[in-house]
Formats: sequence, C-alpha cells, structure tokens
Amino acid sequence: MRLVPMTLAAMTALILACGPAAAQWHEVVYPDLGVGKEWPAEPTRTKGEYKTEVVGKEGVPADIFQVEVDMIVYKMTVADLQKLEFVARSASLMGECVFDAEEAGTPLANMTNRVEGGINAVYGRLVSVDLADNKGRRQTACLFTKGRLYIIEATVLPEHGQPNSSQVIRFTNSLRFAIDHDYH
Amino acid sequence: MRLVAMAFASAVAVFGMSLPASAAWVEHKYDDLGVVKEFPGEPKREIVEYKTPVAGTAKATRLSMSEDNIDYVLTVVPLKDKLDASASIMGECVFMAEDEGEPLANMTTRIEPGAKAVYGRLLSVDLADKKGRRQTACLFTKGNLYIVQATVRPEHGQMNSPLAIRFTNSMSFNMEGEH
Repeated sequence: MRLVPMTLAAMTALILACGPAAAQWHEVVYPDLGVGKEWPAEPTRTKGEYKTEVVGKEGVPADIFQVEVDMIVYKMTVADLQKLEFVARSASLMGECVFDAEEAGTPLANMTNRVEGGINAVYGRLVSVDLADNKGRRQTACLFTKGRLYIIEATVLPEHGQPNSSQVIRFTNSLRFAIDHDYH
Repeated sequence: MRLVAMAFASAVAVFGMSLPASAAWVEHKYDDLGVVKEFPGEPKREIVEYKTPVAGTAKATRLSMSEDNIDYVLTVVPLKDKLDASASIMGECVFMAEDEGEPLANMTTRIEPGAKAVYGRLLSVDLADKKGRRQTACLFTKGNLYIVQATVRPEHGQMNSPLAIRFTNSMSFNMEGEH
C-alpha cells in the first residue's frame, strides 16, 4: 500500500519535471504590435524606451517582454518607429541593432534571418556572441517591419551549462508577422 | 647612350604601370543619386532593371568600369515607394550577395557617424565556378538601395586586392561635403 503512493508521487514528480519544458511553449499573438511570438512561459510586459544614436536622444517608446526559464533569459523588445522619419531610415536602424548586438561580445555566428517568404518576406539578421565577462551566450535577431523594430534575444546564462541550447534558436526563430490567419 | 634610353624606357614603363592604379581614382558626385563615390576612372552609366521578390521591379542606375581585371559596379535603385520595406530590401540584397558563392567575411559597414549614420552590410564571397572574389556592400538611404560591388577576377592574381575594399568603402551620402 505504501508502494502505490510512492510510485504515484514519483510519477507526478516526473511529469512535473518533464512537462514544463515541452508543454509550456505556446504562441502569443500581439495584434497591437503586429507579431505572433512563441514563449516557453508567460512573459512580463513592461513599457520602456529604445534610445540609440540613430534613433536620437529623445528615444522612442518600446514594449519589452521577458521571461527566464532554466537559466535562459528570453526577451523581445518592440520599438515604435512608425514616424516617417524613422521608416525612411529603417535599414540603418536595423543595421545599428545588428551592430550593437555584435558589439556585445565575441562574434560566433552572423547570418541572414527571414520571416515569411516571397514578396512579403521580412529580412533581418541573426547574431550570436559570447558575452563579455563570461556572462553567457546571446543570440539576437533584428528585424524591421510595420514601422517597428523587433529585437529578439535569448541569453544562455553560464549556470545553464549548455551554451548552444536548442531552446535559443527555437526562440529567436519562432515568430510571424502575418497574424491575420492561423499559424500553419 | 643605349643605356640611358633603356633606363628611360624602363622608368616610363614602371611609371606607366603604377600611375593608373594610384592616380586615376577620382571622386564623382552624383547629385541625382544622392551619393559621392570614388572610381578608379570614369565609369560607364546605364539604366538597368533591378528585380527581386521584395523590392519588385525598378529601373536602376548602374555605374561600372573594369580595370586590371577588377570589375567595379555601383547600382542605385530608386525605391521611395517601398520605404516601409526598406530594411527587408537591404536584407534581401545581403542574402542574394551571400548566395553568390562561398562566404568569406560578413560585417557591418557604416557611412558617416553619429545620428546621421547609414548602416549597411559588407560581405565577401568566392564566386561559384571559380569566377573570382566579390565584395558587396548593401546600404539603403534617401529612398535608394545602393549596391557597391568589386569583383576581383582570377586573372588579377591577388584575390585580396586592397582596391576592392577601397572601392566598397569610398563613398559618402553627405552631398554638402561637411566632415
């Protein structure tokens, strides 16, 4: 009789241990920001500011989403750059985002990133660096569309133990801008 | 007498060989294209078609010349009606350049500093079928896509010719000449 509860407890513990990593990834669609994004858990949403040399001293409003799971910090920043002066400079704003990501550490990879295909393709850049001062490994995607700069970052903290975690590439690549239909 | 003539002939030959590469680089100001660009001579100007999935089809201005087995090309594509996709158009330009061969280098390029900086991408590939090495810079500003290419053909003999990086980096969007 004592064996049964222990087995049940062990099974429950096993399910709880295995469950979150696999089951909690889910897509959240943000109609106000024009993006659908997958997360491994519910992120916090805060209002912030995006300020760079090209954006200017005033900065622009930004929505910042973040959650930490298993020593990986998942973050998405959506900077509001819908004014024509910014849209006209969107290529430079994206390029500056990539440059800043490269500057964060020692470059490991740098490649084209594309969301959707064909004439509606949104081209961006995906950068991976080892952060300075052994602060971990970060993968950053920079994309600009719909008058917004989307910065997707996944930082694997040293305590995670696996700098090349597959969760990172899953995060930086799981988004869509075509949100007017269901995901396929 | 014969020695002098030979020495003179040699000097002329050496001078003649070295002169074009160093002295013929000229800065050209293209007011209608919003760019100042150095070429190692006078480029030919023509209208060509630029056609890609994201940019669509547009009439582009192509400035090109060849010297010492290096092909220098600047293509300016007017895309003022596609500003909302300009970051993607630049990214597409980079992707197509990457796809031309075996990637060797890929880095940020920046024209002018500070708030007026124009950020782009500079990459180098060994072209397929041993057609040489190409360096391409893609930038987008003023409603135009600027594609700067220097292709070092195998016959040139020095694949890492400094003339390629000189070409892809010697440009300005500051038409007033303020530095």
